[in-house]
Amino acid sequence: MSPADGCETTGEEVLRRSVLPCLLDIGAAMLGAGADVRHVERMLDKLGRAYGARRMDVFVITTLMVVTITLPSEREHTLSRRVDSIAATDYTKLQALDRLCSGCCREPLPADELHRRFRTIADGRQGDGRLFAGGVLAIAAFAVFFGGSWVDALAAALVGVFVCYTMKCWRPFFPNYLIYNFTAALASGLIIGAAGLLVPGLQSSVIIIGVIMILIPGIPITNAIRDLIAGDTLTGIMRLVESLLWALALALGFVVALMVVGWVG
Amino acid sequence: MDLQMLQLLMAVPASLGFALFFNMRGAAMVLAALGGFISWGVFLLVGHWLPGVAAPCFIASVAAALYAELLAVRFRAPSSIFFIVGVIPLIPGRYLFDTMQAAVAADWAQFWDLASVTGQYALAIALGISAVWAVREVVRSLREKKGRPEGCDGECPPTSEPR
Repeated sequence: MSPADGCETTGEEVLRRSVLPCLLDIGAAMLGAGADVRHVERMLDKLGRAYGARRMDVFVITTLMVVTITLPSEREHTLSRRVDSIAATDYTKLQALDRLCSGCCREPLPADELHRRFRTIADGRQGDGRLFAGGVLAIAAFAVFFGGSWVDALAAALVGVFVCYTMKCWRPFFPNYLIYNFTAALASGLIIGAAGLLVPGLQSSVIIIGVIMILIPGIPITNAIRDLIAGDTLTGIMRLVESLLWALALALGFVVALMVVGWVG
Repeated sequence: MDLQMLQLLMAVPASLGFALFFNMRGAAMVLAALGGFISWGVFLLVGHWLPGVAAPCFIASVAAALYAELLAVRFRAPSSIFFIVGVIPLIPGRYLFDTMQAAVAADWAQFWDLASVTGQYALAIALGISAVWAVREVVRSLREKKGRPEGCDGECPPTSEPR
């Protein structure tokens, strides 16, 4: 039967059963790696059309993706995916996914090959070395940036190792960022405060600011305001409220730590 | 060394740290880190002529966003990560800390003053990237409209057979 009869062809079945779920997986992985919702929407739209969809209706917010694909036979299929928001920004993964999508838009891969390549990218893990080196370098550099001495930078680097350790080992066990941020801020605030009491001349404030810089949800807040201005109001509000709560938890953790150190000192 | 010069120099390793943290590699990582130097340099430069923090921060954010767009084209990647790495020195960590200290000291007048400055920084950064983003979207829409067949509005013939 021809597509005009309204029956599904083999190619359409592959598109619906294999390609569409893979597209949602790709979109979710892109969101997790740090892409903004509009970029994901645009990419999924292009990919679907490249694979033969007559029309793509893609709706993405930070926690949910809904894609309706219109097949050449005019049949419509909708698939949704809950997106786990706890993921680390990973530029290399995002760029690899972007390249996979761009390549498929030009020349679509067979569905199983697309899925295989996606899994290879998605299963790739960021090396701990880069996470630790980046965190330590950033915290130490910011300690000097905000007026600290080289001794402060060294102390900040040691605290940086601890903060990166919490990101690597503690975060997966916390139910959300809110509780993680509070706990990480409290623990690192107490360590910095204790170091400030033990080491004369150590400027605790610049070390705390360095830690704030790495824990503060800078990407979500910036993306949230941009989403609001861009007209993605729902995404913007969700992300803004979420990231302001994270920032509040971070501030509260340090406030409690400062108060405890104040009482002890 | 002058503090401003030291800050300008330290903006590079600080941004480089974030580039590593976000798992950037190679030339993209190094060039993204230079964005920190550019944004903080523009912020200091404009701060000599314009009062307050909002206007210099906005202009520095625009500069970082333009630089991020250039890198995004060069590396065929989303501009947002280049922007975030470049704009990191503008994030008001110092003001957030001072705001917290004012809260601990229950100095509420100081608290609101500092919270206001922190908010101005955040808003100026977001408005800067939004301005550049808006111009980019208009240009992209115009280009896509030129390349689209006449009468095709969202529902186009498939570009290939389903595979």
